[in-house]
Amino acid sequence: MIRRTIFHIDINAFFASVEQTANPSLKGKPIATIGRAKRTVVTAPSYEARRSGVKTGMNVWEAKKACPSLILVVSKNSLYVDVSKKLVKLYESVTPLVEVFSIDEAFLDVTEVLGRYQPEALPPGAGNSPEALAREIKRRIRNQFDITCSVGIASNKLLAKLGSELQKPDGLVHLRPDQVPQVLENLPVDELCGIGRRLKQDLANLGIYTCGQLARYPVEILKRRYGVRGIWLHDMANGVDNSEVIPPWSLPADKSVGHSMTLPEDINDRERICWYISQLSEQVARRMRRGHYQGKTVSLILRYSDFETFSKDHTIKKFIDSGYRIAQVAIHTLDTIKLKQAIRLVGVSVSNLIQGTYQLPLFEREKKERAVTETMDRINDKWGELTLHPAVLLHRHPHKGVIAPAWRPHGIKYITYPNN
Amino acid sequence: MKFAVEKEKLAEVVQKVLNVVPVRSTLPVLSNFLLETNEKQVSLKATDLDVSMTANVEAAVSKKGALAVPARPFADLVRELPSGKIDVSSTEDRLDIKCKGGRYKISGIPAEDFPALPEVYMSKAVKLDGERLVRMIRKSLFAVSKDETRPALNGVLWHAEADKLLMVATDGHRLAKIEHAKTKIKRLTNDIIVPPKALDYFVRIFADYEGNIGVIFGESNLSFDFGDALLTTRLLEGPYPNYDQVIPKDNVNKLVVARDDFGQTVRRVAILSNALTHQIKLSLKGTSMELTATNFDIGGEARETLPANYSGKEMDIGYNASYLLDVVKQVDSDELIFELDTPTTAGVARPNRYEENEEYMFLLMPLRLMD
Repeated sequence: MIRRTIFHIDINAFFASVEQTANPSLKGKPIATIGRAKRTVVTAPSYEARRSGVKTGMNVWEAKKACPSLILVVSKNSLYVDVSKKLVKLYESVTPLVEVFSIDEAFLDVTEVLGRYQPEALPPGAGNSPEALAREIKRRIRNQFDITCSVGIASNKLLAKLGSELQKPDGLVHLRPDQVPQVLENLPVDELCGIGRRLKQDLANLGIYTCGQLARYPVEILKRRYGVRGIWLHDMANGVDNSEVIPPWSLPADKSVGHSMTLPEDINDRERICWYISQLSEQVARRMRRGHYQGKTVSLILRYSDFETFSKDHTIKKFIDSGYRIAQVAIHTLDTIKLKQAIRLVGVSVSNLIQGTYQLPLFEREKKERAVTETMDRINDKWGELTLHPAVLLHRHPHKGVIAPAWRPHGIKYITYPNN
Repeated sequence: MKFAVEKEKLAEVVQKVLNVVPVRSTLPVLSNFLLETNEKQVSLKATDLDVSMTANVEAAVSKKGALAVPARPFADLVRELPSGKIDVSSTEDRLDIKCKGGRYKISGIPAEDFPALPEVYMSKAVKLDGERLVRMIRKSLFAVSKDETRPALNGVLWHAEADKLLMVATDGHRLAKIEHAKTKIKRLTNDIIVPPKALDYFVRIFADYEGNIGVIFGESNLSFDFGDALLTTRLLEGPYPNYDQVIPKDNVNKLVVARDDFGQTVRRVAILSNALTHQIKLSLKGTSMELTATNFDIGGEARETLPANYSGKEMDIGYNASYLLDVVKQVDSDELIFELDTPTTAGVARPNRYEENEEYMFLLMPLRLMD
């Protein structure tokens, strides 16, 4: 296998930086973006705020206590999405192999860029070394958006991501193979992507706390305990990662389109649950239509107050992509469930998808329905999400204001946020 | 109640009526037969509240009466009884069955607890040819919608005009229409929508019935009188969509294919079509047509050319293969004619010749092909 050169680009304090750029009076000041909901938390503190101890996930009261001069800004998600999409475009002008990892992170495989060809978009010399190319990308991001980023350069995604973590803000770290063991030696295991709280605890029970310890631990025992995941753990601790940078155009076909929301308060009332179902169904349907999908299995996901979560699906005879029809099926499903507790979270998801092709309707009523939906979609494409919407969404619950980790700028994972 | 009856005759009737007994029901009483006697006959009744059936069998009745008995054990028992005469009697809530050397008892419930079946005015019966009715029902029933969002489409529309009887069924994407002239029907005041269940029983249970069948058009019911059996169904509420409006009158692109060859080719090509859409593409041009399908999930690709007689604009048009196969199955002639307009509008499929006094056609909406 040829040696690859992978960049991991992480925008520093993304939401806060975008806010400071949009409103220069916030520059250099401790600010933090927060969600829109009642019981909201800090979604991104600026570096100035971080220095005073403000962290992502703190509630407003904790954040203010840590930094009394903190300026709170309600997240403008549509703005972040917009900047993120433009950033991806910028990356794609360097290499077609861009994997969007989250709204503010991306992997770039630049192996080919450095070796064989020089994209016209790059100034002479920028493709000569990984560092030169990284500096060029950082310069462009600064020029175009007035924000900084940390770039990690390495031979695989795992190490590139570690590299970008090492220097923040405005970093550039090239992790060379000979440096890897030293960097990993004392690194806590949960710094590795994919090791969460429970796995960390489990490894601690084996006396493993750092990547160095994990790397030296007999792989056979890991294999016996974790199966294939054991090999994966061993590889990670040794800095080995053969996974490819997966651009959006080579992602496997989507299996389902879904949307869920934690309610502002737990509810029992059927009518209000139905109303959330309608709202979620409209969002799901809009994303389906954007991806030219239709589906015939509708799942309703519910979570009780005590976090017990379950889902129930219903398959109908026709493929559908209208919010009204999806809600109809999901509400029908709701009526077959005897609720034991108040509901904390509602989700709607559609699977058994077909894409691009659909059975044309014979009768005027269905033809009109489709024409109306298509017209509404075009208006919303042009004038912004929910410019026109079904009356059921009149008193809609405002979006919580937090972008989900699964967000992607392409395909059906792409969610647009209304400007409100 | 007391009667003697031939086992074979009783078993035949029991099996017929058993079809109507619901397998599961929220009303336990519906899992019973109602046994009733008059002077010379025993009648067996069952209903699921939508469809009901009464069938009679000759018997030597010595004491009149009625009792509802659990249908399945009763039917199983009657089937297994030895041939010959069986004696049946009832007390207030028990049925006593005697055969050669055997005696069986089964608890029933009072006849008053069994739901009343709809009243049928036999004198209003119109005689229709049984074989014709079966043909008409078969050629329309398959197109009935199974989707519950438009209840009116969950039935077959019956419409009568002069002496013509017309049946129409659609699922919103395809439509079947068949008419039979010179029937004894004068006219129906209103169109009726007949749910598929009773029609399905009709073609399954009475497919071999020869001769005329009495059809009784009631206020909210439709009944079929087979002489010794009466099948009644509740009707569906309309309105039925305006089907006439969607039937194209001047589709000029005409395709003629050999029915069997076309059917076999579609079946083959469809194997490698998308498992959910069953999409196959017809490319029409001159003296041949090409059928293609792809299934990305299994890397499947199918392509076959077939001689055809096509006069019209060159075009690619997508269809659900199962819709095409349904049409092939229902067309009786050796050639199949398609009359098309554009790849996104309704096409007509019909046979190249009809039986006397009969006319039918199918309407197919295409699948929108991926750009």
